[in-house]
Amino acid sequence: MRIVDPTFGTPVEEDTPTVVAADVPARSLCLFSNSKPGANELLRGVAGHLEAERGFAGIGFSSKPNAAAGAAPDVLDHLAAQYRMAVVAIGD
Amino acid sequence: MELERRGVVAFLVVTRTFLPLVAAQAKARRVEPRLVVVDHPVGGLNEAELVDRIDAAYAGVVRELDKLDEVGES
Amino acid sequence: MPDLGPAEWFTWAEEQGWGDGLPTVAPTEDLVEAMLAGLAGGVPDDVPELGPLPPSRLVPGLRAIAANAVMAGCRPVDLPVVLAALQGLQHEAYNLHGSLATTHPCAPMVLVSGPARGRLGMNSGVNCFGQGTRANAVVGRAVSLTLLNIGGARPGTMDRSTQGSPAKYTFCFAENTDDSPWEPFSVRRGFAADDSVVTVMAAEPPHNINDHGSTTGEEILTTVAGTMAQSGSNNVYVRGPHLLVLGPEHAATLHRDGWTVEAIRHHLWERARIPLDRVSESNHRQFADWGIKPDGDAYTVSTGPDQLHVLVAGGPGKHSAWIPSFGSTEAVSVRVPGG
Repeated sequence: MRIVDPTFGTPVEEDTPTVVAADVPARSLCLFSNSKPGANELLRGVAGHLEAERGFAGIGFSSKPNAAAGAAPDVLDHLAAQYRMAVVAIGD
Repeated sequence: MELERRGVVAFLVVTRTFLPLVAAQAKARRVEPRLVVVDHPVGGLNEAELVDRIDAAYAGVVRELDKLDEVGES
Repeated sequence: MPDLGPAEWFTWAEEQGWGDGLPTVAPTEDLVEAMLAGLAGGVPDDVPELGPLPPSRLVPGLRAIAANAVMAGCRPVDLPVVLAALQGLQHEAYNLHGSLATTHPCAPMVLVSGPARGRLGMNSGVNCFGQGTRANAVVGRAVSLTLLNIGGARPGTMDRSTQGSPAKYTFCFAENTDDSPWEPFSVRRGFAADDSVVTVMAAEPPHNINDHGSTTGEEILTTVAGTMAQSGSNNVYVRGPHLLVLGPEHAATLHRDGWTVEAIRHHLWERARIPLDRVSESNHRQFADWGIKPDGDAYTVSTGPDQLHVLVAGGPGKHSAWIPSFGSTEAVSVRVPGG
């Protein structure tokens, strides 16, 4: 018998990524939290170590409006324009 | 993953339990994320447990930073 | 592939990772073609354009959706309702990705209003949330199978629900307008009375509201408000919609006592409050982190009365149901092509 594949779908084409601004310092770093319980504290703790032991300074912080929602593209664009690196709390 | 697509070097902190979800999402997006895996959970911890998670996450981030230095990305 | 009997097919499909654990109908080419032929008159203009389904980010083809409808046990007449539900799930406000990847047990609830209920033979009366009616069972199941098979929302990997719920197999029911004293829910949402409308929401299964003792509408609402005021609900701090599905007898008492739907919504907004002493200290802090502050000596259960939706379904008896949502979602209504 011939079966129609119930998993078939067409992969979506990804948008062209935004290119970071050239004048952003190489070691500029931000935190991005998924707003799940404990995520902010975890990221801030990591930032404390990075500042004390690896010489990072001016570490930024941003977060999703809440854990249940997706990250807003304009917020990500804004971060990409200011930072070269990010520590992201993503999976609980 | 969305920050990495925008040209930001992103270290993704994920708990061991949620690793399959993040890995599957990465596969769907056809990207290879820089993963920092810590024990589950992150929420509902007391202070000592949170310190453990922070130390583990920091060690993972340092490993990824060192890899960047090796390949001259940073 | 070789011809397989139903039992062999079930095993083979399970090995492919296709399905929800219950037996499925093999989506053979002839059954899928027959399913698509049911769209006659609606093809191609009335078939909604669907975007990529999270988390796989694959754009579902019509044939693959029809294959899932066959697997679920749908008849051709069911397919337009399934497609409308999928269209609703893709509305940005529904937050499909969040609702699939969350640890919360929400399921894609499908509520059907309008003439499609009769066309499909849907149950809006006795046991409307339960077993026993093919249309209710297969429409909800086809939606869930499509999310699972094409969307990739597989339990344990992409679907991270801590405990899940039986509603994840299928969660579809119809509005009971015959026994409702008020305008149909879909009409109150701006659709014509002869429109068939599907409303989807990322929802918990129904929570029963038993009230055999109250003799006035106000007393019934006291019980409803008490049921809705749960400190362990996502809606306390994630917010979002609630559905109050009144049984016809509770609705009749409310109507007898002069309650309109708007008055019910405002009354519940004021009365469904969670006293501060029912919330732990750590949760007070967490709610504050989310920007949620108490209103006086209690927490509210959403952002306002407009998030408390009211309709009638069910049969005789002194029971109603409260259906809380995932929180970061909306009740999205979509017209079914063809009326």
